Amino acid sequence: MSLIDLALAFCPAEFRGEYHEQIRANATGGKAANFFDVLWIGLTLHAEALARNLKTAVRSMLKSPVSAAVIVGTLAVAIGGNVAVFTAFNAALLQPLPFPDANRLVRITIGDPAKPGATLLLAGMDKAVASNVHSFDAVGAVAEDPGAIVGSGVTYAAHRGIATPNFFSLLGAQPELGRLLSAADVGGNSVVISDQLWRRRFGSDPHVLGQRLRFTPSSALQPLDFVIAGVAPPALESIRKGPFHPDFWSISRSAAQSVGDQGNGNPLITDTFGKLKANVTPVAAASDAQRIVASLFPPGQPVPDAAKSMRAMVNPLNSDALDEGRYLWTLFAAVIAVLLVACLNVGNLLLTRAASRGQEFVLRSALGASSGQIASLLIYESTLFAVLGVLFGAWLGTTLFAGALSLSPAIARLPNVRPDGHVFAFIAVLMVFVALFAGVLPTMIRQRRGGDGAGIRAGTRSGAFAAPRLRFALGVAEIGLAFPLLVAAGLLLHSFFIASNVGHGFSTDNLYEVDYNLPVAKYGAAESYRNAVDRLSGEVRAIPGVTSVGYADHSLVSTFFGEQYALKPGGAPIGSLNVTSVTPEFFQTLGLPVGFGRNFRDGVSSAASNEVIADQRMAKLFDAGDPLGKHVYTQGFDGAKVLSVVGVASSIVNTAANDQPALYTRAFATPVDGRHQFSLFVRTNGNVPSLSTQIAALTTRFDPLVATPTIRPVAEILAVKDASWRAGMILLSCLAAAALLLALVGIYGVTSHAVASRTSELGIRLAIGAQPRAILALVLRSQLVQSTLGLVIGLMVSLFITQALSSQLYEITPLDPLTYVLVALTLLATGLLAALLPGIRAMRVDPAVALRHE
Amino acid sequence: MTTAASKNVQLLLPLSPSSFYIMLALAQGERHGYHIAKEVEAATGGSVKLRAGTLYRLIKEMLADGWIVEVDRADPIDPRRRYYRLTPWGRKIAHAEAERLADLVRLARSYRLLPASARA
Repeated sequence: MSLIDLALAFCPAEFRGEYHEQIRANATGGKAANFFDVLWIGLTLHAEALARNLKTAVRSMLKSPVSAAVIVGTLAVAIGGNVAVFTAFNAALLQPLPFPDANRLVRITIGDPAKPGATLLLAGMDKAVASNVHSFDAVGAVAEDPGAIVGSGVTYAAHRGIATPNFFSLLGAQPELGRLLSAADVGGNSVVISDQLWRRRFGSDPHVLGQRLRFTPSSALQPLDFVIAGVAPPALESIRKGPFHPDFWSISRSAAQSVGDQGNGNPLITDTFGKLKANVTPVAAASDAQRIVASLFPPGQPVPDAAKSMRAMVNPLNSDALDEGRYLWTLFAAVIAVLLVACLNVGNLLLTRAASRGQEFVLRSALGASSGQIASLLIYESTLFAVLGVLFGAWLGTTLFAGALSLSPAIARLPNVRPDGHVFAFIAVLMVFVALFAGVLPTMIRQRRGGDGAGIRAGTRSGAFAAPRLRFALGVAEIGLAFPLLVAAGLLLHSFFIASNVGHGFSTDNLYEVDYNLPVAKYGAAESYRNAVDRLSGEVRAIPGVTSVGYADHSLVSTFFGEQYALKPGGAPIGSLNVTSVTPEFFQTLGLPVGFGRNFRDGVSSAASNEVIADQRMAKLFDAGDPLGKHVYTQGFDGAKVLSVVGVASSIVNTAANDQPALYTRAFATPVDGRHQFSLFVRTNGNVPSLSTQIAALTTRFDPLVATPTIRPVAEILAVKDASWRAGMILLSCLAAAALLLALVGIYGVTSHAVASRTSELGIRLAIGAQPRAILALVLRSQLVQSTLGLVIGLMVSLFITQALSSQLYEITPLDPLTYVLVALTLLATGLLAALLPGIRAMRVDPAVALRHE
Repeated sequence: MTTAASKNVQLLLPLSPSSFYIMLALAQGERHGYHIAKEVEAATGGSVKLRAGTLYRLIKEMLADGWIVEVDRADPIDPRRRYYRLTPWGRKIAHAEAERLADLVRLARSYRLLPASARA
């Protein structure tokens, strides 16, 4: 092949066919010059053809602007949704942490692989791993030290992170301001504050370096004075695990000791990090670390049952931080489904447009256009639609929809949710996909089936243009795809409906939870703790407008790993039991009536230490009969105990604690040292201005070393963890509605066209005496067949997919029959509705007109 | 004296130099592609070389616009050769372009950019 031949290969086929011989024969002079000449000519001819085709495509688009707008709009909305979700998806799951070698950074924990989420962050793990496990280049840790920062006039709760000297260098983090800590800071008093603390409490002051920070750990009486040496980058927020997040970091006093070891027998929760050696996988590192697990539990004490199935777990930091991963996957699957439905619709609409231009194509054929040229015309048009749709969609996705998505708290928490290289690559992929799927594919299938036909016949609405079987299949597919989406949304909606009607079992109006965290050094002794509680409750109760105050030893939504209770002596402990120590006022304040038996008595006596109140769920766990007087058995720290049920209270339902059975013990009946946290529940008459300020003031009056408690309405607390569930549900519902609307529009289009293409047939039927109503029935019946097929397919897909939702559902199963039946009926009705108008038109066909149409 | 037809022609001017060269060659009579290129090269003393790609592309355009037509004539040497000639319309256009260029030369002469020539 000569150079000229190579250049000719780049020329349009038509030109090449006409002139290649002559060009080859007459190419004189330099080979290179001829090569470039022909190449250039080829490219210019191609460019001219492209421009021509585009102009034609634009003109034809403008000829039926409404249908063009519908196509572009449909694509834009579907693509916008995809772009928005993918942006969040990318930020959460695909973007590596902004540290060098981020994919080698891992978190080392002990956990039960069967129960993700229940991991232990044990003190001493970093030392154990560093000495015995050889899979890591470096191992570091941060211990959580809760306490309070004493600011000017205000004391607020804060967490210190006590870090190993290599923590910051292990991550490879860069400071946002000032410097980060290192081995040189061992024994010093420099600290690094978090970006959030800097913004919230220091107003992003650029002169914060060198300022003092006074912190009182809850385990100490005396405050510690530190000097701020730097501000950590926001990226450090994204490696936190659950609620544990240091507001500032200091380096441990001595490099030899474990950071979690306070020397007072109370180890601190410690988050351990590692940097894997090159070519070591997390799985390999985890099995390597297995041998240190046994050494982590204190010797001499029995290993708790729960701990026996614990394994060392090594999780990449990239994906470990986000609990909402699964929720994002579901959302992503949903928007992809909507996109597919949209593409089907668009494909249908494009075929309809092509079909109605039969006469134009005949004309073009007559003027010399080949079948391939007409096909390429259609492909140009659909590509143009795809490009426009994607461009609008990308704009929508990165502005409106992204804004809407960030209303979901799960998304709002992610750093860096903005379009980047990945997102643009995704958009490009979408463009190709849509152009192919919605444009090229239907066109090629149509071509395969006979294309432009022969002669005048092809100018009618029937014939090869209609591609009836293809459009039938598209219609079935639309219903098939819409069904699972609607079922998923329906299940979540159904859940939500049940959950919100059920309420929580009590009224949350004007009810607040006040969470206290006392310095344990000062209030850890049982008596000082109780005195503090009594005094603080008394003062809160004395605020005008407060009607009732109750005490509980922990918040409504925290689960407490404490003693284990069994229904039989020595029996298996009840899993997932929510045990709370409360005062009698607790039930009254919350409005949880103790329906059976009695409440705890007002005075505290040692007899009360053997009493428990069960909630209704707990009561059901006993064998049949009156739960009053039944026993629960526990292996406490001071020996076995037998407790009797003296009352049954209403259950608190519908909370994030997954509605575990609850057991209440009498507060202060058994003096216990070491407690320093509690929650007061405060019911007001609705007329208390600035309750938080008053409580903060009385707390400072009580003891300035006590951090200002967090005060939140109970309604908000119970809703907080639901919020992400709720947002996901709203989003899914919107998507389902979009899919339904698309299905409606799509089926209307298909049926409309099917009817139009059968005009002559229907006309003949009417002419020979068919009842108009029978014609309508014919149309509707055929639509019913289509819908039913679609439903069957959709059902099979749903059964498979909805299993993923089971953890999010409340009181219903993924196979909830009510939801499935409703969705099926909705889709059937939608199909019939969509077919109604074309059906009515079919009824009104004038036989004479119909015959002339042919 | 401008007729509608001549107004049409004016709209097509000026022609690109390559197009005009081709039409000049064809003004002599029927030619095939290679011959056109050779003639143009000779007439311009080698300074204008119409490469094959450019040549045939322009021929294709002029065919489409009706300035030239292909002639059904068998070449004794190479049967693949295709001959072309100017159409009356094409001739009109070439003439108009020549006139335009002549006007320009006259103007250049009147401004003494070009010496007055005995061959004017």
